[in-house]
Amino acid sequence: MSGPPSFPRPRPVPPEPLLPLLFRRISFAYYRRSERYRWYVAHSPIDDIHPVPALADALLLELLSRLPARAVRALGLRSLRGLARGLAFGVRCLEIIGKYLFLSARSVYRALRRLGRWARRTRSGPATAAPPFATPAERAHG
Amino acid sequence: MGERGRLAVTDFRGLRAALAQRSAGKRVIGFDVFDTLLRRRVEPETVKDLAARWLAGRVAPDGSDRNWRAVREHRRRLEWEHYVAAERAGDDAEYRLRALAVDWAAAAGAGDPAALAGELVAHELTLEQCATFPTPGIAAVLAELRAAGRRLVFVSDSYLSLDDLWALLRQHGLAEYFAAGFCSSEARRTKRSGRLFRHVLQTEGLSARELLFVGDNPYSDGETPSRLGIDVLRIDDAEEARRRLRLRCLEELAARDRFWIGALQREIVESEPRHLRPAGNVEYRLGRLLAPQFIMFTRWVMEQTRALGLGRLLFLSREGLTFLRIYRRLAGVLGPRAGLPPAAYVAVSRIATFLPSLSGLDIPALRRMLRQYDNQTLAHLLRNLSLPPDEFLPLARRHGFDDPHAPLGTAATCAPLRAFLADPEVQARFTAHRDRARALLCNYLRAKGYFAAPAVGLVDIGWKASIQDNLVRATADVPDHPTVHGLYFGLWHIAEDDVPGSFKHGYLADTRRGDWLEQVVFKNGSVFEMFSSAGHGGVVGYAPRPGARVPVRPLLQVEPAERLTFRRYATDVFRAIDDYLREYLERLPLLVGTPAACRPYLLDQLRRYVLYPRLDDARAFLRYSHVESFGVFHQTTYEFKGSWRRALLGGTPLGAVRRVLQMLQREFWPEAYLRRLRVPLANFVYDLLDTRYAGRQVPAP
Repeated sequence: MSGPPSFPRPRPVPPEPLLPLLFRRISFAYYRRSERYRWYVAHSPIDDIHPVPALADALLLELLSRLPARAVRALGLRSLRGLARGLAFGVRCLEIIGKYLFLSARSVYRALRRLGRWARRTRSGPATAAPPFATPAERAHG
Repeated sequence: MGERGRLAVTDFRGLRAALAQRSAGKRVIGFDVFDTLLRRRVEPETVKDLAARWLAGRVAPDGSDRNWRAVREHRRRLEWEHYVAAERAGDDAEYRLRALAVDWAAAAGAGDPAALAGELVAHELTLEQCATFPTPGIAAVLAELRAAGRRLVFVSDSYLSLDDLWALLRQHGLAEYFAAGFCSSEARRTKRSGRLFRHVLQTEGLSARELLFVGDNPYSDGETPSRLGIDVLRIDDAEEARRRLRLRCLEELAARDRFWIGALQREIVESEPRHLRPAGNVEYRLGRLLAPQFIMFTRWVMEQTRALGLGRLLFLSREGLTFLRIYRRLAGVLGPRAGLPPAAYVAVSRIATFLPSLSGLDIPALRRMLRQYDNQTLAHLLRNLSLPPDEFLPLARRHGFDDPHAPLGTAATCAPLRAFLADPEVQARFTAHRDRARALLCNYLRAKGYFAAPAVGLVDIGWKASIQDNLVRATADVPDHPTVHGLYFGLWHIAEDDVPGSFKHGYLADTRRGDWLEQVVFKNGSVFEMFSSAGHGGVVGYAPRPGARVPVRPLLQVEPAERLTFRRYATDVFRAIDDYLREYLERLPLLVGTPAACRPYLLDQLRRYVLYPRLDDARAFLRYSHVESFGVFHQTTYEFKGSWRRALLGGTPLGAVRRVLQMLQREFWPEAYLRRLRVPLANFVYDLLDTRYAGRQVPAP
């Protein structure tokens, strides 16, 4: 039994590049928050609405395709599923932290902008405008 | 108990060397069948699910397999009952497929369980054949062992009969290597208990030391024979384990989330392919992307045909030829039970059908074309109307048209054009030409079966269904004109063009659904058109052909640029589609995902290609060209035609982003251009901006 190895390499479905996958998910998530998507969901039969694959499921498949085969076999489906869920949880945490950071930054930016406008108004005319962050009652009284 | 046999572990790549080392002094080498000689494309339980679907469909009055889960549950219960009965009789827990099939058919409510059981077994064996394939390279190893004078036997724990296993191995080209076979359903003993191995040793007249057994299961094929003193070569292959885990995972995901149904289908078709090439050029890869889209579209056409009760399908040139070929091959495999109507290829085009469709020569009638292709010249207008210039240009000169190539501007307000159209002689000649063209078109359509059924389906790639509009208008005066259903890969619906008795349906995209995600199809519609188009050229009109079966022949015109694209690049795309289709047809019984269920995954794959193309895909697009043969007559090429200077400096600095976006949106496939720029994250930023813009466009009610 000599000669070249007779077992050809396996030919699994080639995994796609990771970044486009991630970008597509992000833009799809962005689209799902849009007014148009809400219209589409409200006006479409349930079967037409795109299912949204869970991040943990997508990550599990990526892990199965990208980790070395020996690692996949050693870990098994159960551990890999746990790992994918952990990663998805991490991503979700990052998303929440990112959202709060963004919202905080946005509110600071808006507060500064409002302060700037008020400052400009008080410089240019009589100080009748309500100060920024005034209560509605204060604002009503000018 | 005697001495334990030696147990060695190897993967498939090391099997050959391990066999050479361990088989010395052995009289017989035994092989496990499933996952050793044969690999699986789907899990064994999935084969039972598919058989349950088939049985549920057979016993249901409407042929639907809706209740297949209940039927599957019957089998699970019956399997236990058969196991228990076997153990009560003193045998190992195993059942026989044929015995179980009779009980299963009876439990499912079949009128004649015995007759149905025969069909059921035959179907399950077909499924098993589709679901298995020989382990790559195993035949060479078996051949070498046979050549070295070894006696080979196979031993399997299986509910299939021994004859079924022989047939399965024969179908996969492995039976010739084996001298004998043993299986648990015949011997009523299993490998798990070890009694089947004792039976093998006794039948073959061997001592345990004279047998080497090769298998994959750690317990049945490893521990048990080793305990009996048989030397064992256990296969533990990481790559194969990974493939099976992926498959199992996808099956689980597809069962609970329909997004993954398409992914599972892809895994079944593309994993360990027989015909698909492992690597190919850009066009071959593009063909692999397009093939599942086209195949599922064709399956959707079949579904719609049945649902709408269409008596005839007409595939419109030129893209229809690709779909017709897929249709015929699918119909050939599905057989007459699929209940599909006859189909024909119809050579039509927008330019060949526009003149017959016109009710008169005036601005309202021309608006269908002018809306899309405004700013025509008179020469172009006459060409779009298929009216001979040598006859009409002298008439035009009477109304002030000195230069037929001068732009008309807005046609509705162009005074010379209005005067030209109002000329009675122009009208008379137009009517004569229109009636002649309409008669030829109707005769051609009649020969193709357009009028042979009360409802016919037109199949085309898309996009605005203008040929359908033309055909319906051209045949409206024929007494037996049918109701027409247009079935399109992608439909850009224009409500103003709709006429009574004409209906349009889009598969992958339909703008009436209002979903922006699926409109990715239109972002690079050219690629679908170019690589589904037949190479015979465009239809420019019809001519009579007296005495022939089809009394009218289409006049074809091939553009040199298109021929070049077709010959150089489309060949590889079509080859990939053909290879993919062959894989698909071989696995067809395993593929139960409906076209609707597969649509989300197909769209996702399209989004990957269109929004985030690979650099070589984006570059390859520059090599292609497409000739427009209606409205405008020029060769479309796909290089960048915008101006960065104008976008950045042609207005206020704050408006630069908007101008850049507008410039990109005017390009054919702007994502490919951005990819070619190789600016990091450019495609992502463009995708987000485009999504933001589209998200605000709520369709009008």
